[in-house]
Amino acid sequence: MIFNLILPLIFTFTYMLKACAFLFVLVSLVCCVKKRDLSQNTVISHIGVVPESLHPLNKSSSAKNIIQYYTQRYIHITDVRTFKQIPILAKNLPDTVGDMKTFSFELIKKAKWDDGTSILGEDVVFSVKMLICPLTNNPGHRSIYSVVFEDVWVDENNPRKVYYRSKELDYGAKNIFQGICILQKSFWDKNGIVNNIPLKGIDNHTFSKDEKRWFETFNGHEYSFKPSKIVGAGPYQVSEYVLGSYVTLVKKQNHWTKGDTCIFNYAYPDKIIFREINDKTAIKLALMNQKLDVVFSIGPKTVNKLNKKDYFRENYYTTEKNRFVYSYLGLNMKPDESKYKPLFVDKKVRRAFAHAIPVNEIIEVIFKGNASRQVSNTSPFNYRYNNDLKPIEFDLEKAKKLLSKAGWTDSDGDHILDKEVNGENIKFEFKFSYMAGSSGPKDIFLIIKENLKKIGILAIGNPMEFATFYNKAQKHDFQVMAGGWSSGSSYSNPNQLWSMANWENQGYNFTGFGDLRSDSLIKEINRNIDEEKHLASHKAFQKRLYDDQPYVFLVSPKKSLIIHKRFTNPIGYMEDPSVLINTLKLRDEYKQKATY
Amino acid sequence: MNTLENIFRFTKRVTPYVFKRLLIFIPTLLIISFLSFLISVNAPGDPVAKIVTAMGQDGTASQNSDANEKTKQLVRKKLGLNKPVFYLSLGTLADCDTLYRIADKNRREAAEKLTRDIGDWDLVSNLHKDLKKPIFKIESQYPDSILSQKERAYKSQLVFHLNGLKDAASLDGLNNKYESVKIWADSIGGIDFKDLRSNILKINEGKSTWPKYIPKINFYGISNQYHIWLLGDIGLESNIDTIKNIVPRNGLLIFDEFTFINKNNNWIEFTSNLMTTDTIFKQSFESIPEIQFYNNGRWFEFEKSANSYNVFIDRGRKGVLRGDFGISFEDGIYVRDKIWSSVSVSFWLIFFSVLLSYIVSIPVGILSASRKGGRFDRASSVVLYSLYSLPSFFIATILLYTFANPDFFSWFPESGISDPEIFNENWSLWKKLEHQAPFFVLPLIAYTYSSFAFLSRIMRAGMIDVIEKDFVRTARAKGLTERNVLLKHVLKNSLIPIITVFANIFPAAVGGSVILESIFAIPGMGKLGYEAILNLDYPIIMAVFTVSGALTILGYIIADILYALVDPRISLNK
Repeated sequence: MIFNLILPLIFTFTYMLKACAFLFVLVSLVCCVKKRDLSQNTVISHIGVVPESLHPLNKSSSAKNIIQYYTQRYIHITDVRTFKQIPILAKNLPDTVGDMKTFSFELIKKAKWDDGTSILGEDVVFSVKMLICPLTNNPGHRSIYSVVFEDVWVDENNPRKVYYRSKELDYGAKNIFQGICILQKSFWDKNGIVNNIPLKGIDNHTFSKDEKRWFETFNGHEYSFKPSKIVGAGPYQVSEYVLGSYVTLVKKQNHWTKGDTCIFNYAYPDKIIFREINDKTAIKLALMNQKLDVVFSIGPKTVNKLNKKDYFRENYYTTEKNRFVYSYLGLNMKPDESKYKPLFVDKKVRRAFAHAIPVNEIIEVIFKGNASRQVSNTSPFNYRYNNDLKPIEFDLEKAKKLLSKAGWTDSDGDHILDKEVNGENIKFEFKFSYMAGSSGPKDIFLIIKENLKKIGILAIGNPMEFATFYNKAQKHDFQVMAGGWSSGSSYSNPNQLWSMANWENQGYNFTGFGDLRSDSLIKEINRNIDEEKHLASHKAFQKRLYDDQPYVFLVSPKKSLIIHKRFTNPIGYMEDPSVLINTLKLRDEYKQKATY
Repeated sequence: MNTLENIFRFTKRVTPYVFKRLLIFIPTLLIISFLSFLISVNAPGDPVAKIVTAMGQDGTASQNSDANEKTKQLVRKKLGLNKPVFYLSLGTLADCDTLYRIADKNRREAAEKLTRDIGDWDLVSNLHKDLKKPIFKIESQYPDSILSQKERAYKSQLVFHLNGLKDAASLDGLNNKYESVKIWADSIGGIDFKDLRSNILKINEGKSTWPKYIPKINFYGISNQYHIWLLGDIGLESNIDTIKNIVPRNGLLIFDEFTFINKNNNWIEFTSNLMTTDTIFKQSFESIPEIQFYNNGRWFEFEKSANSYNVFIDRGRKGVLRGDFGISFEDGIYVRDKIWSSVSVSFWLIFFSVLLSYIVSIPVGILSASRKGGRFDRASSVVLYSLYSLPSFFIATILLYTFANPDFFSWFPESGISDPEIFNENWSLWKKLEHQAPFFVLPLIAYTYSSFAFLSRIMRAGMIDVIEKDFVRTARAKGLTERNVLLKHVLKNSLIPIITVFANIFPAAVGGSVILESIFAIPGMGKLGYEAILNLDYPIIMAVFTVSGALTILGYIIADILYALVDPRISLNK
């Protein structure tokens, strides 16, 4: 019955009418697309993924850290230009008081919350309390900070002066506040529910029902997603938060940072939008359509293609940035000697191996020149780097000599080196483990294989998926592995990657590097609160790694940074998003333009 | 009046059927939920290990570190993974029924395999429990301060191989690992691990193969992961009164079997049948604010209140059947909060996609059928099949390069569902529609084009089948125009296959399309589900499966009703 009425109607239109209607709809839709108004003082930055939460303490991710840089404030942060700490909410960096375990700093007077109240010591104590409380929904953060903080308290006579004491003598304790967002106690805990929770001995506290209920709210959905509940002391406020799409920050009016000379407190753009786009083509087209102002995660190949377009060059600056990431070849220094023969136990062999790796060729061929050499575990761009360490040159002759010194010769004339070990003749052949899925590691392996063959070493490719690769690395079930690490500009405790305990306990010391001396050097680095002594130990440790070559350090790939030319004053740095978005200033000539 | 009567008759005809189907719906949903749950818990990878690893415990992260173990236990507890998976488990007499308590998934699996090989869980359990003793002995006998460089290296190897004993998944593997331990123990000065030696000896002597051939069913009661996921706290508090307000006196508590965990996650496990005054228990009981008991197949958790302990475990969980999909492993946020916005985006996209495909395909199918073998039929076949053969990501990229490219036609936005710079949530519906419509044009085409060929061919085949029927010939003989014949007599009778396809709209909306949503940056279900798989976020995955399954059933019910609507000859009640 219904069909009798409706369906004939579909066919009453002539084809011409249908075509006209289609064209009308199409034109209407096209007309609905608004051109971007480039005179707006809004920076749209690309972001790989919109963070799944913007709770100041719970669920950490690099995307969240990028956004919190503008919405939250820290006691001190790393100066992206020098990689040294600079105070933000404090007058001075934390300094030791009396013994080397107690530190103090004083908050600046002008720092205010959005309601006009001052940022005080009680806010700092509250923040740390939340951070290490077992009921806060971030056990990861807790495990990092609870081993450091013994107590935090406010000076009786000065509400802005804060003291804290670390459990151990620890270099990290000095800078422990660099990643901690300071929370406004009066916003979170209006009724003083958590006042009775002691910071010292918080683990043994018996939580009342009210306290538990309070934490349920604290960890809840609202404070992770609702813009009005995501508050902080930064110059920007989250105004829109659409999961999987974008986050919009708007500049706070009359914020305490107004007129501040510290570049981290600048707030030039009226709005900052972090827009999620996953597809490379869509990012490229968004740039071509001037829909993005800042892009920091696009490959140099795409940028080169874009740069061939005149209009793109007219609209955008492009530059390449170095990064704190590196790739390496891990050599198993402590093989089980049954499944894997002791090929890389001798330091001379590892050095020879390093001489046989054509790192410059890898940079040119695989990375098309968009990478820099890595020499130790510390980036050459970091002030902690030991400048005495020079890249090990590619020299097959040297490699041959070193192998010969180590007893590796081609005794049977099969062009593969061999050696008598514990009464058994073993050949220098090994499995080269790498992650399957992308062409990069495989291409690197092929280049390395060719060169090793020239000196009588046979490498057999062993690609595997990530979980297996990682599991085998932790269980030391490999001979040579191609891996990579990502770090930051701040101090990274070498214990995790290089202590013997982290080899014994299947941690991240995959290769078996380490002995008593290196372990004590790691302890020295961590216990030296004095910056100079700490730095000296750090450099000595790099030298030790360089000499031992548990890794053949390969390259640090660069990435491209693209900024729209309607902005000036870009201050770039090595960590994401590679530019301080808050310092971008809209050019005057664009202020007059309406749309492009 | 006539129409109303028709509607009444139709409703009367359909209602009993709908009720019947809804009754079948419940067990079907239970099966779907069970299957999705089963797939999720057996998926490779350990979400707890992933979460703990992602936390990046600088300087302390390692598989065996106490901090790592404690954090894993805490995360497992928070996520509710410290409970048995289901009401029962099928195993063998050799298996342990409380293996789920081991926090590390790899270790758990290794222990299970070793137990099956040996045939006695107690032997494996003793080995695992005693493994800390040798390491403690090494540390106390050979502190680093008295060791030479060489001895320290040996000690390192010894500790590594001792830790490796936990990963042994067969007796041979265990013996090989133990041999390595002995070699390195000899290197360090012949340190003798009496307990370990005795455990290994017992395992080798006590190995029996028969238990692994005898099947056994272990019952865990209703406090299990599946029950809580499906039904929430239903039934879990029914027996509270019998054990509520326990007042521990002189450290005496009697239960068949229990485990308790304090807030610091120091697991203390008692395996004796009768728990009396235990020294550790006595010392620590008063200071423990929370206790978790496993008793007679149930878990009970208590919090201290004055001198009594009140139940609070699983309070507030409603379960899937009451609309609570639990919390996301990733961020502890309720699943319903996370999926709602994604479902609506995917739903509207699929809805319009289906609408568009029907609007285009039905006329094309009709025309092709009426001019069978003609130029239009052949041309439309070639064009539509060519489109059908092209993958959607390719078409999506072509669309982007053509219609969102300033080098060609910069007509439509390249990604997203709104312009964040100008979009305002407070706009009127019309304004929002006007703003967002262009964003959906390219995704809609990419979603829809492949179904043009499929649907129009179905339509064409259905029409051709009906065209040859006698009643069509009769209609023509009566002198009706070809248009009337086609639209009034043929079309209605050719719609059955088209309706069948309609049933798939709803599950497709929930499933979304991973590739297209990624390309066009659409925050839909496909993307959410894909990210959940990558993050091992089981509650989200299970929610997607279950809702998708439920909507498939709903789609079929609607399709059945439509069958009855277009063809009165179809009886729904037989």
